[in-house]
Amino acid sequence: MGEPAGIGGEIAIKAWLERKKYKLPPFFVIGDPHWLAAIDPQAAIREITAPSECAARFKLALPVLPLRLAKAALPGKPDAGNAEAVLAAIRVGVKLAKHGAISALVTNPIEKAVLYGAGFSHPGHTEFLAELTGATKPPVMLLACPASGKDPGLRVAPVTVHLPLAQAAAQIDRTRIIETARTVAAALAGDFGIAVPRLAIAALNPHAGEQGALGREEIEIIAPAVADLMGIGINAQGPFPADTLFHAGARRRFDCVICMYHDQALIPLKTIDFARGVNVTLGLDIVRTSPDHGVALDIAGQGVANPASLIAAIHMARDIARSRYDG
Amino acid sequence: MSGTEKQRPIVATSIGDPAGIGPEIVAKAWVTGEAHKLSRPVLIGSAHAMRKGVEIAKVKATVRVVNGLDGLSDNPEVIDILDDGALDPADFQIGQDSEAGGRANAAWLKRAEQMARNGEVAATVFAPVSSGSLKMAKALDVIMPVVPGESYLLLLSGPLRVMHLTDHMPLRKVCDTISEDLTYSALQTLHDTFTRWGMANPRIGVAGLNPHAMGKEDIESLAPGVKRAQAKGIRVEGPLSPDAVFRQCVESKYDAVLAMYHDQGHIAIKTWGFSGNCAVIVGPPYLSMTVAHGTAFDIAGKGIADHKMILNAMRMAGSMSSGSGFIEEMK
Repeated sequence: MGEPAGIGGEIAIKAWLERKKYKLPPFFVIGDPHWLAAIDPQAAIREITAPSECAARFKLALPVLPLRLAKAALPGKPDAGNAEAVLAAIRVGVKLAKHGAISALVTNPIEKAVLYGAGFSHPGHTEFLAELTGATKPPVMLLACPASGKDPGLRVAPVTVHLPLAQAAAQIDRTRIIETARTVAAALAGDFGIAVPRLAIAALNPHAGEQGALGREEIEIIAPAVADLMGIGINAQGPFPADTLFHAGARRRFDCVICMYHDQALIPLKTIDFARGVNVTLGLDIVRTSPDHGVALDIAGQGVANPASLIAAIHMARDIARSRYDG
Repeated sequence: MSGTEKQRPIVATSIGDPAGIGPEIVAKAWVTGEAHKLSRPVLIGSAHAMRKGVEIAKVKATVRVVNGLDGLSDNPEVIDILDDGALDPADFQIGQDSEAGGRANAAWLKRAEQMARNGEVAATVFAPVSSGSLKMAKALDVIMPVVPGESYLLLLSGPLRVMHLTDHMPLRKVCDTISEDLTYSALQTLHDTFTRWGMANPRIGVAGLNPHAMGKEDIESLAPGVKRAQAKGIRVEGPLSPDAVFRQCVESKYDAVLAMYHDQGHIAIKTWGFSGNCAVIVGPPYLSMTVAHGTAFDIAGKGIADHKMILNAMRMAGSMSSGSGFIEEMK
């Protein structure tokens, strides 16, 4: 469901309407059927009582596993009264995935400010999911833009996520780089079918520190981490100047770039393609993807939201589930 | 030329390292005549190296040594060059760094800068120099360092124009350098410079420093700096989420982005248009432009190097220095 006042419901309905064009696997919404009906009164919606009914219903209607909202959702105006339902939808999704009732969970964007008022205390969706799934290691956020035409696509994984830049730079840590890269390498092999993933490790400073003249983190922290990774048999190279890693030629040479901070990963992704970025959580025992955009309160309810990122997230969830469960 | 047309500006292009692709791409660019439409071009460098460049590029042109800027030829088959004998032709080999090449380039760069400072030429363009050669000649210091508050690096790639608040600086130092005053002063410089170049009142987007532009520096330094600029009538918004603002500039919501640090702007520019960008130093009263690629020693002398970037830099320098604004790049 995600934030019901955002664009989540609209893009879910649009994705279902385009299910044939994009060859989407059967999916259902965990949310309030009245909420979806209010967004698009014409939409074919069908309540289900269990995920097992989804596949049969999917052809003729968007299946919905009902979860009632406390308040009617007004587009663009999140209501703290619905925070509990937003969190419950995520809990239900995790539980179904854990029990194997569904192959993958795709989460629509949430509005954290509203959830904090209701006692939510995690920095983001990803950390909440780590707790719900009982993950023993911190999960890794992978952002991916699928290949299209001549463009090879892009995968990036930041070592730190929601940290101010000064803190991210100060906290660059050898162990953290190694753990992130290991999780990514394992996931690319197991979930993405890339037998020997090629990882590029980005530098922190301009020109990769220029032999220490523009910063010493490359020499003291990142290069040793790369050496350790190679020592344990991971095909990692770097540290490379970050501005040399994201043009199409460079993106063909690597399967993923391990980035040192949030914007190092997000700027290339969003500069290439605003519409089709996907966020994948690596290191969980369930498959979870999400569209890489926010709740877009400014355009909610206008019918103009673009479902491309959600569609890409559903595709990627299907592909990962296939690799992981069907081998 | 019609009588009403304003005088085209003189743009001096230095040929770059004689062992690199500089001379051959300059030759290819020159004979297209496209730079002549927007400027009166002249070269600074070695006539010998340039003749070699003409030969490698397999173009039809005569290299003519001139002693001054009077009577420059309008004929694209005549390549006018100021050659003060700084390069000994015997001392360099195509594809290799050399002390002679470094020394000569240091002299050419100094001469170009002096001519621009004196107002003899309206703009300078630099074909790629080799830092290896400059190092051998102990002349690395001729490359103008960017000093926040005084000068800034601006990268241009089609609709994406990115000026950097800081440049060659460790990332941790960037966070301490950013201030309200620096932000305001950079915005003023960017606004004034674009207006002088012929794009009046540019719409500027300021990239934040932190994820989603929601950190301490964004609130305490950038936002007040932007407010002050707005109060002066500058069309500026921000700080904006750094992961969104560059795409918004590509989509023409802004005419320029003020980036906070080297990689923030360079990542966006190189992701968007790796093969087509040029760099301008903003701050000095004259225009000084370089291309994004290097000397490409591996392909130098083969005549296969692409000249479009240097040609676009020469055209852009002519257009901007005469106040005619930015022009569409030739593909």
